[in-house]
Amino acid sequence: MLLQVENVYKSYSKSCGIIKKEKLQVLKGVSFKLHRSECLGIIGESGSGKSTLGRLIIGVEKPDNGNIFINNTNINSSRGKSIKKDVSVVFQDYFSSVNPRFKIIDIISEPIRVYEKLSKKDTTLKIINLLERVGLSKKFLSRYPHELSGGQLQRVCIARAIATKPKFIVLDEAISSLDVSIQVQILDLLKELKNDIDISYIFITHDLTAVTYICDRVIFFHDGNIVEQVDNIEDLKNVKNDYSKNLLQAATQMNVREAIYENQRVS
Amino acid sequence: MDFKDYKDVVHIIRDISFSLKKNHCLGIVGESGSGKSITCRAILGLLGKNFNIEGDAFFEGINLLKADKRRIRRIRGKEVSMILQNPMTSFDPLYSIENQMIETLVENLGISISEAKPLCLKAVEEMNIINPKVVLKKYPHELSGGMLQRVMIGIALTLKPQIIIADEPTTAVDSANQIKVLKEFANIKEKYHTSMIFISHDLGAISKVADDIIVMKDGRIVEQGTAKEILNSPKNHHTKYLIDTRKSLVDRFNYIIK
Ligand SMILES: Nc1ncnc2c1ncn2[C@@H]1O[C@H](COP(=O)(O)OP(=O)(O)O)[C@@H](O)[C@H]1O
Ligand SMILES: Nc1ncnc2c1ncn2[C@@H]1O[C@H](COP(=O)(O)OP(=O)(O)O)[C@@H](O)[C@H]1O
Ligand SMILES: [Mg+2]
Ligand SMILES: [Mg+2]
Repeated sequence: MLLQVENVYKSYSKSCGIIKKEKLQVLKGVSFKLHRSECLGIIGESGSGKSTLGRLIIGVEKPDNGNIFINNTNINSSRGKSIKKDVSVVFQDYFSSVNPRFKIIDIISEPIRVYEKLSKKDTTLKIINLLERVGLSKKFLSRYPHELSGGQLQRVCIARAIATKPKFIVLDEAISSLDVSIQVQILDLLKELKNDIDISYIFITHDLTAVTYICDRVIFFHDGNIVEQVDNIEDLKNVKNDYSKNLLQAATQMNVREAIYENQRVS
Repeated sequence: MDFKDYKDVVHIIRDISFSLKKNHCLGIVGESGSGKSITCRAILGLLGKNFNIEGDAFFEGINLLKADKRRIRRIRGKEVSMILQNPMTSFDPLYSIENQMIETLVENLGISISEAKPLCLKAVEEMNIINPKVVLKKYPHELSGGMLQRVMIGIALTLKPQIIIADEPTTAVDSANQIKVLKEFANIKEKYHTSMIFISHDLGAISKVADDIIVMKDGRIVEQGTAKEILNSPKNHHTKYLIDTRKSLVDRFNYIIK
């Protein structure tokens, strides 16, 4: 199993006033699996705990209870460090995920330097190759983040994420801040990468339409719990849980065909 | 309202003209950086001195680009309401929703606090918010983005402006709540006879509320017409591109749930 999340709990202490401290239980016993070469969607509204789950999976935070295994190794055990390389992450906020004073070449070379011993020339060649993979030319090498559009910068973040040949990438609202037109381009790029290299995705989002575009399976996440799981995305219309049905209905109303313009005005 | 505008040095907006008809909703669509926000801020005199604006923008016979500051500020408070992308930044985190609504109404309508109170409740009720009395007592961080945005619309409507300008009002809202916000916008025209400018990068959102559509790209208008014309028979290739990309996203969804 590529990734196995077992009964994971996470809480944060929230300070109420000065003395009283209350616990905010964010994840309440979450279990699921990620298979090889699949895209698993995790959908839920904001505040439901999706990003927290993402942070536990990439190992920057630890669960209070429960375990996370990547290739059967507990990521929080002593052997866990060696498998950090197997997972990458791409966030919603592409601009604050990169150092504004670094050129694109330095941004992408960071993880390569950590995990591989390459000569300067080979590193540059590798980066040019990665840029081409994500649809950017080598003229971007010496540019700074502010000289790129949102979509271009997110492509750079994806190039950085695949630089270490991870087994899977956590995409946390990775397209949510982009224009619809650019969202489609990035989703197409992710699909293409998945065909070319052996990689899986955990696609975290609040947008069910994007889920149907790219995911093979989807988990409905509500208030720190998995409330429903759809193992074949084509069965989406058969969801049973009220919360999942609500999300499906809202997305259906948003997506009524533009061609029948007269019928689709909301009222 | 007619609008003609020309900006210098770095040309941000080049020679655009459009009009907003009474009791109509004008949708402005375009990718980020195409000049949607700056166009509206120019009309409302919200741009700094380093912007050089040429042209005219008439609101009921008054040229907004030439009128004196005080007059424009009065129009901005009373006649034209703005609704922005991130509802969280429009609210003060330290005050309850009700207190902020009261303050806004007292200031802009010149009424007393006791007169404002029932208006607040009515505004929230009109937005189809469940438990309106409970919601009024809450603080901004206790409400979802979609809920806050609907409260914003409620406040804007209570001021009974002639024009509402909404700049990406659904972009920061969870997609499940976007449709609710859009429904409130669609209702505004029916109930209040308010005219609207609705800005979004998302043709899907625009198509739910707009009567007329302007398509912007690189500071220019590349196509304009009725919503029906633009959505059903686009002429410009950029308009077609915006429609096609959204269509490819939505087609897969519609295929799966059919
Ligand atoms: N570091 C933290 N400290 C305290 N509370 C947090 C922290 N991170 C997240 N939370 C809280 O956990 C809840 C879930 O947040 P998050 O995982 O970001 O949800 P989502 O990504 O689904 O929007 C929210 O109520 C949030 O305020
Ligand atoms: N304060 C500013 N100073 C200089 N240029 C600006 C400023 N705000 C926006 N611009 C430029 O104006 C153009 C249009 O921006 P904007 O109206 O915000 O686009 P949109 O709302 O369509 O995303 C962009 O190219 C942007 O770089
Ligand atoms: Mg999140
Ligand atoms: Mg804008």
